[in-house]
Amino acid sequence: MSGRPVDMTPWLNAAVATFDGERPRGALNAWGNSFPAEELPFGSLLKVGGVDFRLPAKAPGEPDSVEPLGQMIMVPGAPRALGIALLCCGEMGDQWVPVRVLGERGEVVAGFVAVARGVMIPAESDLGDEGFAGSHLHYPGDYDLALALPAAWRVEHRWEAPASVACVELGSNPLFHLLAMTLLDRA
Amino acid sequence: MTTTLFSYAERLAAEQAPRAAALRLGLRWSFGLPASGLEAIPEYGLPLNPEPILAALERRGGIRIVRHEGDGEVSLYDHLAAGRPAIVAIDAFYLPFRPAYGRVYSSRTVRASGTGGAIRIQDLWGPPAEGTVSREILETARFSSVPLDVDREPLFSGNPVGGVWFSVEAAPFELADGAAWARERLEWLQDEMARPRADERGEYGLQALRKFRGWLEERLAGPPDESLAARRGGSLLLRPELTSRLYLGVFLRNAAHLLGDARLKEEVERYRAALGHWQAAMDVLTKTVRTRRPEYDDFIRHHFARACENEERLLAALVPYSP
Repeated sequence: MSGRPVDMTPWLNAAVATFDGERPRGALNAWGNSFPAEELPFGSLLKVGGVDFRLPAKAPGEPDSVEPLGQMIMVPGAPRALGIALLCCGEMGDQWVPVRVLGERGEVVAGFVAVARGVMIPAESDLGDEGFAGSHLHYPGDYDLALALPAAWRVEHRWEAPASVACVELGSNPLFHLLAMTLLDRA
Repeated sequence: MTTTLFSYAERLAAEQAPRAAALRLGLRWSFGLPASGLEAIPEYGLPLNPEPILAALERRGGIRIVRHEGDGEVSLYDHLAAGRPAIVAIDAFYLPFRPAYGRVYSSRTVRASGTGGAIRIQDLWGPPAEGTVSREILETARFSSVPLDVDREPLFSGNPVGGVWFSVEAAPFELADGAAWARERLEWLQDEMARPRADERGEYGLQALRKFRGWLEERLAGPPDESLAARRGGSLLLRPELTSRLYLGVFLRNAAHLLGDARLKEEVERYRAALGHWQAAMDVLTKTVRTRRPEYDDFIRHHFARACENEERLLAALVPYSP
């Protein structure tokens, strides 16, 4: 496993994916779009650009992601890390949110602005190592439309020397969707 | 994110007069609060202005955008037959090359060109697409009632298209004295935003912006039906207003350069960056048409307050240019 995934389960507050039978519940944006849940390895690992992200377990109707609203995401054991990777996407285009990584005594290990690229990409896009795309976009109606796909992007931030990470503090932006978070332990 | 009308108007103007289309479309600064219902504003709505905006843009910058309703005075097809492209309001439900064909009623504008049996349509709405349609299909799309379907199209359904189309003519752009030209327009714009005005169409200026902010805050906390109407209507009002400001920013940046005013340049860059607050408030307001959470409304209030402060700060910065 590359990196140490952070369990965000206690902070999940939104759903970016729907299973086939619940497409009308889509809420990734005001148009009711969503990722196809069957294509995301909920409860397991998703490797993007060499980083292992652990997606939460998910059943229909359950939350699967975090919309940053000022949460303090605690990291048990305060492991040492060289950086952090986010799997994220922006609703209504690119979105940004301030992030602070805090050590055991509350000291600031790193502060940065995470920028999530927009969730909608043209169907022929090649994301390479930068993200993960679904094969189709869920709409709230009983149809698939072929020209746009949902994508989640890998965003990394690294700091100079290994440091213990006890908490990740998120700023506030409901248009930023955080699917997973992994602490990076290799240069 | 600009409205489709402004996007196409800029392109058409640039094709005719390659210099400075964007800044010439930015020669308006006010806030127009309509007396009529906000939910009647279409995606291609123009911001309300004390001097009607199309007349203002023509007088101040030489770009003539004419809004036509149907084909009474000037036929769209005669216009196209003369080799001129047009910006046409349509319901995307009827465009066969769009993936939403036959599924989602949604109005916006597209660029139309060509004549005869095959009219070429360019649609920039993401993801962009183009195709050809017959006159019969275009007529159906132009005169659709665009039935309301908030679930599939939370903003751009519910208002008939009514055959609206736009033509654009851009006069050549030459400045004998750029500084004088810019100074004159800064005076007009400062006054346009600073001075409270009202007429049968609505209210204008910073005072109207403050009134809208108060109205929105009340409605966000109100009964669900009122709240939903305010969220939709507010989103529809704020989009063309933000679009207008994005183009205003282009003019202001150029004006600061023409005037050699470093202080103004700094204030303009600050203003342009802070338009992100307007965008953030507007986009989350749109989000709340489908999904509600108290934190979302707090976010909207916070960012719209910052957006209003941004307008006031720019107004103060332009005082040296007031009439």
